[in-house]
Amino acid sequence: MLDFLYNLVVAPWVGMLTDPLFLGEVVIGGVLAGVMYALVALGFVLIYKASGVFNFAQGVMVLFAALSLVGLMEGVQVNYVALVAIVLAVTGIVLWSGEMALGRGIGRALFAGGVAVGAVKLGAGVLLPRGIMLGAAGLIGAGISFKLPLWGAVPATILIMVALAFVIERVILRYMVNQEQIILFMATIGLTFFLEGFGETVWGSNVKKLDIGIPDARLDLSKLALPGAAVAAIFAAAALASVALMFAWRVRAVRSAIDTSKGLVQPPLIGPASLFFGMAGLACFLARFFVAGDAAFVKGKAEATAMLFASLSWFGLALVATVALLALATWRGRREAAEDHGADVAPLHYGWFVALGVAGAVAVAAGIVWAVRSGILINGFELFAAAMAAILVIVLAVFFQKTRVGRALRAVADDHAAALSVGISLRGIWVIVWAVAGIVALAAGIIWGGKSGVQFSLSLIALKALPVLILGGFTSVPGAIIGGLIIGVGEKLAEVYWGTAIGIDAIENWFAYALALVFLLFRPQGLFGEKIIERV
Amino acid sequence: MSEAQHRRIGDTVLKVDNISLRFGGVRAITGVSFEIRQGEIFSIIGPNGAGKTSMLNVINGFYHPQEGTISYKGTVRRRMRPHEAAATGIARTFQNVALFRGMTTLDNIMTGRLLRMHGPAMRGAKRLGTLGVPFRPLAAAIDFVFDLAFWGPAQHEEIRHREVVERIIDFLEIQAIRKTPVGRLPYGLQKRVELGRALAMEPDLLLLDEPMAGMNVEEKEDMSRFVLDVNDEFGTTIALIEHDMGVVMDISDRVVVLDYGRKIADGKPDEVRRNPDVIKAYLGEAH
Repeated sequence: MLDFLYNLVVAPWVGMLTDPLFLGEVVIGGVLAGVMYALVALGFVLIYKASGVFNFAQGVMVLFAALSLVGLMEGVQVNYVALVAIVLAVTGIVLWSGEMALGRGIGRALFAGGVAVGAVKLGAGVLLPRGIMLGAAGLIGAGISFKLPLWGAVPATILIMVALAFVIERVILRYMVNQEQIILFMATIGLTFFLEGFGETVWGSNVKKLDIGIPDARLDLSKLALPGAAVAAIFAAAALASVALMFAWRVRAVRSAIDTSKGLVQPPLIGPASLFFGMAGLACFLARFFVAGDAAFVKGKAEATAMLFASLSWFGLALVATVALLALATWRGRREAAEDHGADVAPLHYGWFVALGVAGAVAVAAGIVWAVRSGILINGFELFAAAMAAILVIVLAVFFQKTRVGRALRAVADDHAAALSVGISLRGIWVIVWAVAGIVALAAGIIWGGKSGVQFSLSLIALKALPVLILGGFTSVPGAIIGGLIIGVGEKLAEVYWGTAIGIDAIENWFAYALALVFLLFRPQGLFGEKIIERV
Repeated sequence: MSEAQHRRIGDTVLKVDNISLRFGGVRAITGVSFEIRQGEIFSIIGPNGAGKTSMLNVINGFYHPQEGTISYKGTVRRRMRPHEAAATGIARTFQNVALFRGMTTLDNIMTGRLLRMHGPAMRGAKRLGTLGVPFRPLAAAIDFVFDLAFWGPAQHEEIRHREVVERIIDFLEIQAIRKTPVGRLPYGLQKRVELGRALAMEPDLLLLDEPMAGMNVEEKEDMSRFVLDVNDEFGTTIALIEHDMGVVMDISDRVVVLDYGRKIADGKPDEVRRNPDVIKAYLGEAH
């Protein structure tokens, strides 16, 4: 029994400590996997925010995007007639969705023409059994055969996903205005089956390999040609930047809290939670000096236990540094607010926290530099995936916060009737949102397809996105990212350390769902979601 | 009513002709006609369930009447959706405040400028008069890239419209809550922000759905003052719905009274006040 407890409570920490470099690798691996989960979850969040629809088809959109990409890269043979039919029909639908009366008329005509040509082609194909719409070379006239390189296939696939968004709006969403959420949800289930079948009919259902030219192998950073000082500088800068970001975020949060309450209600300098963590950190740090030497509470494992306490003290220091940083940010936010509100906000002086905060940041940076120089291994493909996801997230954030279209999107997410009354066209917004979700699906498809091949099971990664959404909240873009990271890191740590210690296999497979279950019990709206208030 | 006010009232802006609206077997509006003239404050009043809000929703394009026509700015309007009505210069507020709760006051009012904000490509296309089918999406796509970069023309455009919005914020005296998410504001201020959003559209016709509902006396007075000032300073035509007769009679140029979906009176406040049908509708039969 005691041994089991030791394995559950102590052994994993000892394992982490004895080889911190390996721990670093596990954590980084988890972060990178988490980013990939987040990418899938992001597609869900976008559509849920703008239209309140849980888009069951997001997973299949990933599959469809990846299939199209691989298909275009492997080479396509299109019959001229079929090509004409498809181009006519899709152009028609795009024009039909527009606001111009003339455009709508032309669009309808084009669509009808496309369908007619396609029907003739299909009919001929059935009568004289030789191939379908896309497939072996032509029935009526010759066909065209082409093959795109990666840089050409990606934009082409983006175009396909945008066209898909137009078609979905035109054929499904338009008839679903003012319907119950569950009806829209059912519609997306229907879309799932259609897209899956359509994608595999057009592109084939065999397992395909997607090669984007980045090997799925480990990089040895210590072999970087950069001089040590440069590596150190880069990582130190990154660590400091993240600390600064956290600081700025907290300052803004405090400011807006004070602005909102017009300075009358003052947010606590350190909330009870921060206070608790700060004290716990301090206790951890001090415990080392009192207990570490002779605290062999598990017989024969004195050395390991001592090590655990040593690590606890470092953990404690990190906690204290974090709390200090938050406290400093709170102080700064209050001062900024005080400048606006005059004497309403009393100034507070916690300058000595600065030293602690900076010390924490430097410690983190030093740790990273040490890890790099002692030869930490990082998967190159996952690193690429993370970089791509980061760029995508930044572009999306700018899109949502800074552009006119982004403002319109946020408006539609909040209130349909009000959005209409200021002249926002719901249909236009839906097309944009589904197109963006399609592009995000393509990014996820490239990454997951490049890792494990393009096949039907790709659509099942949507299942892994569900716990991420439950953790982060269905309506929050940052929530999707942080939820993905928590699950990615959590499942890797659980698998590597607890799995071997307790002797349970494949924790990685169910960890995310167990965590989601806990969240559903205690915080159903997720970490960043809006509180669910049902009015009767 | 003063002489000055008489002079500024012009021709008919919106003519509602014999409108009937049914929801299944329920008749919400039956054969109602009236005219709203340029520059006036026009009120629709009536007891609960008289069809006031339905009437506003018809004008705004949320509902489509089964019978009757609406002429706006001299032409008979085709079946129209709300965002198209907005594009023709009709702005509105809602009975139960419909703001974008996650956004700040400033962002909420900025949404009122969306229809007027164009990127450089779209402006160029408009100037050339080529808003045909292929050009519009193309211009939108080009502008979208500018937007993403938030650079040069896009930023310039944002600043230009921000100035208009800041003037409205000053006008409505809501500077202090500029950066506050509207979900946290008290009800009276939310109504004011909603009015601000409608004003930001620089509408030709402003529809107000019970702007004073749920307010205390002081807030009602503030709101009445804003309505009068908007009408006075910007010359905006205002059509408002109210349940409370007192305030309406003070600020309106003309009043239409609805009861059970039918028009029972139409005229200047004083005439309407004396109308026996109106008294009956509001107070019930005399005993």
